Amino acid sequence: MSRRLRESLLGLALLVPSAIIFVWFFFYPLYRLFVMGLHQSNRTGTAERYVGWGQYSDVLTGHQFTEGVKITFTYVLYTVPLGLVLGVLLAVAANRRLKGIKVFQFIFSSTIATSVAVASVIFFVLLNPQIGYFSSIKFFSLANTDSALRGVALSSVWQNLGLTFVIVLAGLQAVPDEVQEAATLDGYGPVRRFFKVTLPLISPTLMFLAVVLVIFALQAFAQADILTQGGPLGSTETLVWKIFNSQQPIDQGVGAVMAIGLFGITLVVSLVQFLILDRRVHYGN
Amino acid sequence: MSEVVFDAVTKRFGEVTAVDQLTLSVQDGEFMVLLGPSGCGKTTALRMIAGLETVTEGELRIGDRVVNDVEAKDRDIAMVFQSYALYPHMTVAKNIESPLVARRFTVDGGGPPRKLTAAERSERVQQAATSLGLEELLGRKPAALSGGQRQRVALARAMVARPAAFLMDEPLSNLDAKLRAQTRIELVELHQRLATTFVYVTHDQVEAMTMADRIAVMSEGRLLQVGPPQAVYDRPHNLFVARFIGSPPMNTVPGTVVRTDTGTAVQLGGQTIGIEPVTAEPLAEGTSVVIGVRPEHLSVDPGGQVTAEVRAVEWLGHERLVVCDLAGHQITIRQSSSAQAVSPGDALTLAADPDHVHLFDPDTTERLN
Repeated sequence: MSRRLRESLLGLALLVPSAIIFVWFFFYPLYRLFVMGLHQSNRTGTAERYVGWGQYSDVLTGHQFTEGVKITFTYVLYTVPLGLVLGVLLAVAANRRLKGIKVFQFIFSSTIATSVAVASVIFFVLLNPQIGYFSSIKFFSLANTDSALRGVALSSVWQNLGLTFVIVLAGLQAVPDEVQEAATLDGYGPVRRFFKVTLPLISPTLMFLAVVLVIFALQAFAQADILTQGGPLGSTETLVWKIFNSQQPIDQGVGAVMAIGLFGITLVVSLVQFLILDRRVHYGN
Repeated sequence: MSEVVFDAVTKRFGEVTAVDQLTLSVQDGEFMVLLGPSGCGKTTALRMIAGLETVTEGELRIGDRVVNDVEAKDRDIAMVFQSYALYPHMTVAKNIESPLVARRFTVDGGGPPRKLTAAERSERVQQAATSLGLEELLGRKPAALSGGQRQRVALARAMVARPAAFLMDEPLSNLDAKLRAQTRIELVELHQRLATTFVYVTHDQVEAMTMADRIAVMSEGRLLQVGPPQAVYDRPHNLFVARFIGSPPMNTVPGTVVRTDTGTAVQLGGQTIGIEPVTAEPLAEGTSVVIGVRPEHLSVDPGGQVTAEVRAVEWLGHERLVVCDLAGHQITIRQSSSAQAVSPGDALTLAADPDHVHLFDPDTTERLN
């Protein structure tokens, strides 16, 4: 056996454990989901029949799915840019060598420790149309179809802010002091320094956060479920909310198709983000 | 072009005094090296000139302007950082152009300062790049450059605004030994060409000796001695300077002043070494002193006054360093490699060049002769 062949076989052998885990917990369920999308169950789930690709085309072009896509993408637009901007603002504010700054860094990052459920309950109290402190702010009102999604988005922005803050802060602290000082001596004021030096140098961090936050938003479910149960009038029914509510045996096929659809959307969006942003991101080397 | 003057400048960080009552005047067009070990305050002093640190007490002047409260960007200085601090996301051309973009300049021989046009900026970038041999690299990013090239880009960026003074913070410390020696020569040439004030910080006494018009030796925040390299080398004002400058360092051995038939001598262990009556006031018998002789001012001489035992010989090609034990103290002798060979265990009779014997007070560490 040649040395080359031996090394190839060894390499494959070392890949086996992780391959098993991937196949078992990821590829097989994905395959099952795909097959489920080709079938329809009866009301009790005791029998299923093959309905074929027609179910895919019907569901993916149907009103329910396209409406879900629209709501989910609107939700991405509400949460990601605002979350990034606020995270960067907080991180820039807290990235100073001041006495007691750790206290602020702790407070700003504290939402990492809250779950979606906790965040949602907090905002349920704040925004609740009957008892909420902020119920008078129409822009975030959970009672109206045109503003309820913004209310839900607000709770997500708040909840993700800790993560965004911590990661941007780490990015900022990796920017060498001497580079900032060189920019100061070159005559750039704080604002110009931020846009000409700091922002390009933390762009890989922002790129990573943009991808993560988009994926978070595409998967949003619990905040909509807790705050509005998808309402009013289905105006906060995100894709995952719709998928989750298709769990009756008779709806399973439809839910499976929507899940595959969301998978495809997430894949394409992430690829596009990498392709577009990668060219504008500076990685140092 | 400007002189840079520290007038009793002190810098404190909380309880720590980084620079203590520094009074130093860097002449217009001078190459001044601030030399000292790490933590001696030299970099803090430089950063105060740059405006990156505030002055706690005293007055700092650039030209005839007190700059204590002048912002860094308005001081008309340029700095080369130890890490070079290039902008990694910009091309070499953009890096060099950077100091020209935001600031205003007095051009055409007068008039109010104005921003440079793109054509003027590009012309200056070209000039700086040409003078440092960077034309080919203008389109590259710093990551694609070698250490020496990055260093030249940093220099070009400093030159391009034609500042009144250049500040350099250990700019050679990230280069390999060969490149460092080459760059030293280039820096001296650059200084002559630009005829501008250079303030250069280093802990490397070789850099200081080879490049400086004058050296300012600092330790623990205080200025110990200022002068041309030769003067500082020949007449160190105190023990610290004596031991810090010179490689290998000056031999320093404690002893006691005694009277002999021929005059004054210093007793080291059981041996005596005669000294010239050099001090204005003769040293009293029994005074404790530290006697210092540089390795090249000690020679093997049968008529010498002290004997020492050879412990090791370091052969460097053109010369030899002979490490000996003298009355329990390690001393080094520098010899031409053509001198008679010695080996460990040999007893050598040594003579010190009487014109180059230094005496220091062991308590104050100040020079006595």
